[in-house]
Amino acid sequence: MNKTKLLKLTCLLIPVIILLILPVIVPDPYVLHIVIMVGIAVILATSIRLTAIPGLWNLSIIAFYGIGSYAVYFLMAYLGLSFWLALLIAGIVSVIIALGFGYATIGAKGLYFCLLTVAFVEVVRLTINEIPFLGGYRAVEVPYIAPITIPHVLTIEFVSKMPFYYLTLILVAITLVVLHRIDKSRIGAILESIADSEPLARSIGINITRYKVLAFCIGSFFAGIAGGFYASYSHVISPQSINLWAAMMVFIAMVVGGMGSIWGPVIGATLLTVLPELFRGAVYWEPLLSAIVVILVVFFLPGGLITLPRLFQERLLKPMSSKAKEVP
Amino acid sequence: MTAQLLGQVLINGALLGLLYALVAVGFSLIFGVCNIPFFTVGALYMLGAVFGFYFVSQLGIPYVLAVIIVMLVMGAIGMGAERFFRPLRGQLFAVVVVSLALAMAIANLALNIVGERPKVIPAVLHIPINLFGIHLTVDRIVVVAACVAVVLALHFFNQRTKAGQGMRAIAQDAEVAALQGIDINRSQAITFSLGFAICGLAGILIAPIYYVDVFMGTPALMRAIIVVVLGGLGSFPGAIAGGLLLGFIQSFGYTFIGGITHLISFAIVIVFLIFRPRGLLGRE
Repeated sequence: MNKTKLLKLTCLLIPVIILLILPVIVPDPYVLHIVIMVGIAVILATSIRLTAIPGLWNLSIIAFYGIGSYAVYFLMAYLGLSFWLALLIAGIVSVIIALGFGYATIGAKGLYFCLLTVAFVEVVRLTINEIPFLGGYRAVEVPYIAPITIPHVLTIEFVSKMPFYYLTLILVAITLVVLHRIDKSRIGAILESIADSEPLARSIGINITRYKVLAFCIGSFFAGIAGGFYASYSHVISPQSINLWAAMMVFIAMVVGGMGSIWGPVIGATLLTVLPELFRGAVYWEPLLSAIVVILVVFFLPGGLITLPRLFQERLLKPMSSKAKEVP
Repeated sequence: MTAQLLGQVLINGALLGLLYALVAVGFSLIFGVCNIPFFTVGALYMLGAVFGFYFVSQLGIPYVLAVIIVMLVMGAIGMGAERFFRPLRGQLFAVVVVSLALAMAIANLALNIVGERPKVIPAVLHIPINLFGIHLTVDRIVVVAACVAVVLALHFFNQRTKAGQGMRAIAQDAEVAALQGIDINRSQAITFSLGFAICGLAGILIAPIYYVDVFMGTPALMRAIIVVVLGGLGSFPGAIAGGLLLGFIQSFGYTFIGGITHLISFAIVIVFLIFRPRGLLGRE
């Protein structure tokens, strides 16, 4: 028991340490950029997983990502708010919109909800297209983040990739910790009980709508934060990035990684962000190659990539030690 | 607003709507029987149009013959696709992801092989007629008639034939249907090949009216989703009703409001679903 805990801790610590010192070992902006994009994808994929636990077919995460990025743009460019306040408000705006949309639509069954969220993504994109002060269909430029100065100690200027890199790590860490805590909390247990059987959950007095909306809002909050962060990182945002395929990619990342644990979407998001970079040599065929990888994973690892180590263990190690026991 | 303009807008809306209905029927069919939201239908529609372009413009096959060949080819592909999806039956998330990945793969293949420039299929029966001051062309009327005929034939097939009854039984409860001796694999194979053939048909029917473009899949998928949601999932008459509704909204919208119509049609879907979650003609 203690040994496995230790093993888990080292498994967690090693990547964390590597990530922390990565900019020192590999000061390549390209690598840092990819890690930042992986971080954003991780936040989105883990948020969509939270909404998927109680059985919501949610494809609208990308819409809240868009809402978050445009909220940050509006608050910084028009109201002159600082980035940090704007980011927080972007998350809150996402929650408010998610609350309204969630309460109105969460009663829709399974696939209808899924199609509603698809329509919602289009509505958000087309609405931004129609709002002149958000730039309409054209891309807009997001103001730079004001530098942070601690007198006589240091000044952090958000110009190079480095500060954004560490900011990404912090945001991802917060997201993972919060979502992990939710997973292990009473709320997580209730969400899973809803997934197991809605009538049963209702019969023991669980307000299903409330908990589904809660999961939806929390997921949307983090998506909004991710969008707001991306807006100030890339400096340029356009409504074209809020589209069906972007929404689908988040969903695919979750399923490919595996929904069983919070680490599944982390792995899935990493894979789906890194794959196109790996296939950069065959740039025209990149979507096809990525699609093939996704299909292979789904076919051969039904539980997602997260089950790979366990499967490996079961297939290769178990037969050697306890073959006799396997007779059912 | 004159009666003439009103008539023109109505007719345009009906034409547009019935064209939309066809892809929606493909989506609705596969969803209704296999319980799969098959997001590949947009790519299949594009594939039908691309095949049509190759058969008609490159190989010089007569258009009517090309339509039949496209339907047969797409049906065969559908049969193969069902076999491909069989191991995933029951795993909804996996099926959705694979259908998305498949759409991505098809779109990318088409882009690389066909190229991004729009292609043209020579117009067939492009004869303008003037009916009480309303402008029409014969090809559009033929296309609309074909759409209606296909949907009616499908409805008849579904309600009256043994295979159709089997499909409906599976839609209700696959396990019980299997206990009654209905071959699920066979029924789903028929469903897939019918669905694929219909999507391909929609593609090649539209091709001479508009043009062939490897990016036409996603907008078609979005329209199919709207139509299906408006009409009710799994209902063929519903798909026609939903298609007509969307066609009228767009036709009136573009004439009288302008570009914001697109937004309005999506907003209508959401509002509509909130108040009537099962669509116009959907079952409970």
